[in-house]
Amino acid sequence: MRLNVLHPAYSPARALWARAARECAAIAAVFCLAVATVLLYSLITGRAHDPLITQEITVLKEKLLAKPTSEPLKEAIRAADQRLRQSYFNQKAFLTRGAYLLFAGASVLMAAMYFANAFGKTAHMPKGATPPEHAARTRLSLAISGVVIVACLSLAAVFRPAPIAPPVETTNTQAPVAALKAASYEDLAKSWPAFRGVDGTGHINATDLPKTWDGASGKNIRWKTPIPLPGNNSPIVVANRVFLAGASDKTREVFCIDADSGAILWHRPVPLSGAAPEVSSDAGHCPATLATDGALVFAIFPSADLVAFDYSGNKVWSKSLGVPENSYGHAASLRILDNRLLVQFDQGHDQKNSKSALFAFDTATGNQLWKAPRAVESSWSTPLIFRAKSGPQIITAGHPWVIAYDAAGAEIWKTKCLGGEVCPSPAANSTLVVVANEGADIVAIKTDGKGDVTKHHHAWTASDGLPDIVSPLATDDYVFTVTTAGLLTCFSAKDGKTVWDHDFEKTINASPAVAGKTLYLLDIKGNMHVIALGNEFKEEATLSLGEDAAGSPAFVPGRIYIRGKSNLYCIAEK
Amino acid sequence: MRRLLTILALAIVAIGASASEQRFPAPDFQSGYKLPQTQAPPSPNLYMHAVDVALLLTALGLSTWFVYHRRSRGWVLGLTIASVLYFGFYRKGCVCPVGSVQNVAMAAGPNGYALPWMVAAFFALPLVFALFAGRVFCAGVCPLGAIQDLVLFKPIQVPRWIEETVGLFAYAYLGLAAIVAFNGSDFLICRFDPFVGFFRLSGTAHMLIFGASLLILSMFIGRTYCRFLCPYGVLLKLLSPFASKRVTITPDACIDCRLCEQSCPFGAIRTPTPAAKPSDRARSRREVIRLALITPAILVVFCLASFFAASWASQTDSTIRLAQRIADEDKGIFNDTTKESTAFRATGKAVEKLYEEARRIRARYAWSGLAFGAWMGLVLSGKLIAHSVRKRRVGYTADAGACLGCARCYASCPVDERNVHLQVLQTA
Repeated sequence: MRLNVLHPAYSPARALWARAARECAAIAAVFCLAVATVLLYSLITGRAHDPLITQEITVLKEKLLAKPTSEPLKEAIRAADQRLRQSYFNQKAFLTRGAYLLFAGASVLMAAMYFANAFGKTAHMPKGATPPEHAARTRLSLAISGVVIVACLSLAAVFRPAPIAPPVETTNTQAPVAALKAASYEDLAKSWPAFRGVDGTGHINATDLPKTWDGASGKNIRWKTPIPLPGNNSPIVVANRVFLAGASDKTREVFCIDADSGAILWHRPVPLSGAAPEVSSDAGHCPATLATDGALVFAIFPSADLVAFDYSGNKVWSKSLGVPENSYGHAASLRILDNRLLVQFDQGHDQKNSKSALFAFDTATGNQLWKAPRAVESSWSTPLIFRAKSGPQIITAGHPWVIAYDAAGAEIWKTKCLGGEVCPSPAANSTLVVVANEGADIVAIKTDGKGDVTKHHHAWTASDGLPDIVSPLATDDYVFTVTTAGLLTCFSAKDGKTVWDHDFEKTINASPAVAGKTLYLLDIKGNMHVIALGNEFKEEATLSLGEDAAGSPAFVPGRIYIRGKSNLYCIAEK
Repeated sequence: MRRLLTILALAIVAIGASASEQRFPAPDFQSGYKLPQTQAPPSPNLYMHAVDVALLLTALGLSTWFVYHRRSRGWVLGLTIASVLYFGFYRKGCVCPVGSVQNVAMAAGPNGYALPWMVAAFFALPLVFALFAGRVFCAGVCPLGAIQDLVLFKPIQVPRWIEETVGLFAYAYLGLAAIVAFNGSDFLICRFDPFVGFFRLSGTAHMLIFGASLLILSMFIGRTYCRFLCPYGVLLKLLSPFASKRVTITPDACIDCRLCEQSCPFGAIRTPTPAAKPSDRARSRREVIRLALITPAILVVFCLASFFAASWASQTDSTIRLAQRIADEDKGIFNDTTKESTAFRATGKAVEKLYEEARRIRARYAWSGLAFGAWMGLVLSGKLIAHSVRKRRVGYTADAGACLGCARCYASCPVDERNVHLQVLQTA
């Protein structure tokens, strides 16, 4: 029979060993704690040196994008990369050695604890009655746990993740997409396929426009068609089709009208895909102007539901971009560049973590071709296509950046010059892009820059007649701005000096357009002001529609289409 | 005071020694460093697999022998240390039977996963042993249990009702891990293995902290992970009551001396129960019938709630996360892209197919949620019924399901010749 020599009660000499083991355990515990603390500190602070996490190189690379040939920047990237890697591997080696130290310390701790426990153990002496099992308490506790589990599951069920909602729901194609052929740029340029024409400059290519009309008497009114649903978007025209959208808080529709007769050929509802955004009464439920490439017509609504119909009214595709975070819903009109449908989707008020982006979708399928994130706040401005010698530039105005993109979505240049709620779209002549907004300036920007051109590519700035809704217009000689209150200001396109101004004293929401030497400006009462371009203000005619009008007119050879509050007018010399 | 100063001095030395590591940086890339050639990972060593299975079998056999024949805590402790060293530190905690539950669930799923024979053996062997000899795997073979057992310092007795209630976590964890693995989404048990970081001497900070917290807890609440979280332990617990061999505290008849009642650090010793009065038996019977009748209702409630809540579990699936991300990016919710979304877009695959696949997986999860609800409902009902049945126990016994076979209780029994009191008395 062996004696359990470890027990202090029966082997008092071992009490000394018990104390030694306890103290050894305490020292080992302190050692482990110290090593663990240092390791943990190193692990947390070391994340800053992780080459995959740190932003240092990313920032440098972004700078290099702006200056791709900068050797000092390249050298700085190499140096930072090497430094971070060294730091990372140093830290890794440090952690590994620390882990071994910790392991050794823990082993000593466990052994010491075992012996301290064994040496210091006292025999259990039962006291009192045998403790009851408390089965009822266990049952109650289990039942409560069951209720808690069900409650948690129910909460999780109620607040479960939303269904995966694809933004693209390709529907239909009664008419095969492959059979549709978009019109050429030249053909589109002769018509009015989007807001302010094919590129959005407001330059009219038609020459034989009607010179006189009168809505009340019907003079030169070719036809007048009531539109069942209101809307502030402008009509667009290609071939013998006029398109526009109408909407109320209940329904939204796209209308196709025969350009010759005014007959509504078809109208198609566009269902709301999700929550309806709050819109202002001024903007209405369909402020964005449609666009067409000659094969399909595209519409977008404040909820950012985007839809494509063919010319027969078949829905080819549709998608939802999600309700944007802005005050009036989505209002920027659509623009087309070749096979790209451009959507300037600016939202929110956080420039650093902005959700704004410029999207390019394939016109035929709706598939996203590219997406360019934008560090801008909400805006309601429509992109403009500037035809530079080096290739088309997509000009976007936002708060605070005006950014030019190439056709692949890469930034060409940008300048920080706008502020406030940017609603006016950019304008352009053959060399300059002009942007303006109330609360900022009118800025003429040279278009041959690269990267951030804020400091060196502003041709001129001016601060008179700042618009808040109406887009500016630029010719090679003059730049025009119009305030909502009706003040038309003419600037010299060369140096930005004010040439003249004229107050119509009438509200104006429609953007001006220019044909040769004639400027067309529609006020909200439906009066078209025909102004001769020159160094002095000269109004050649004021032509009345006889109905309020907010949208910008469409100009095609021989005809002007104006959307009144209730009717669409086709004006042509008889 | 002197002792305190000594400890403080040692702590300062320890911190200094740890921090001084950084003054001696590892070699950098500046001088003559050559990038090593990329090499394909070596193919799995089938020989080692066979060795692992053989060692597991041997360890289980030894554990059975130590627990039932040697009735020796010392031998079990030796096996525990050996298991931590081999299955833990040497084999880096993988493959282990605890994680193999997921392989089995995945193989049963629709993803065409074939279960490797070694994993099947690791899954089945401890269960087979449990069926005949109880939880001898937990006793000294499982590295996760072993590492906790080694740090057990001052065990405190957890009241039975707390033990049973908190122990529900393990059932839920098993159910969740099984449905996630069944759907081929993830191996949650491995991902959240609290001790594998120690075995590999590396790991994420949060998992190391979690593991360290469990170890500290296990110093006082014996084997916290095994008792309240281990999903494999649930299976062993369910099978062990069927074992023909069971741990008996006393080698002979119990004399109700109560010397063993505090000897189990895992709360597995059950006290004797007096003979029930007829009225108590009738009440117990009524209670059981009532619970059996409401069991279908419990199942329906659990199933319904789980059916809809399973969407959360589906978020563990990478396809669903990718589809969600792509949809959100396309909606403009995110301005940036992730590596996954960029890679997906680069493949040119149709996004509609991705959405379709994601919807299919989520629908499958809903049905898996139903199974999870049924499992949890059955567990709860079963436990309620089990605690309503009056059991007659003569003498102190080890609960077949809860006993981990650590052999600690043997030494406290005066009937056992190894009992310390007896030895002293005999020596005296």
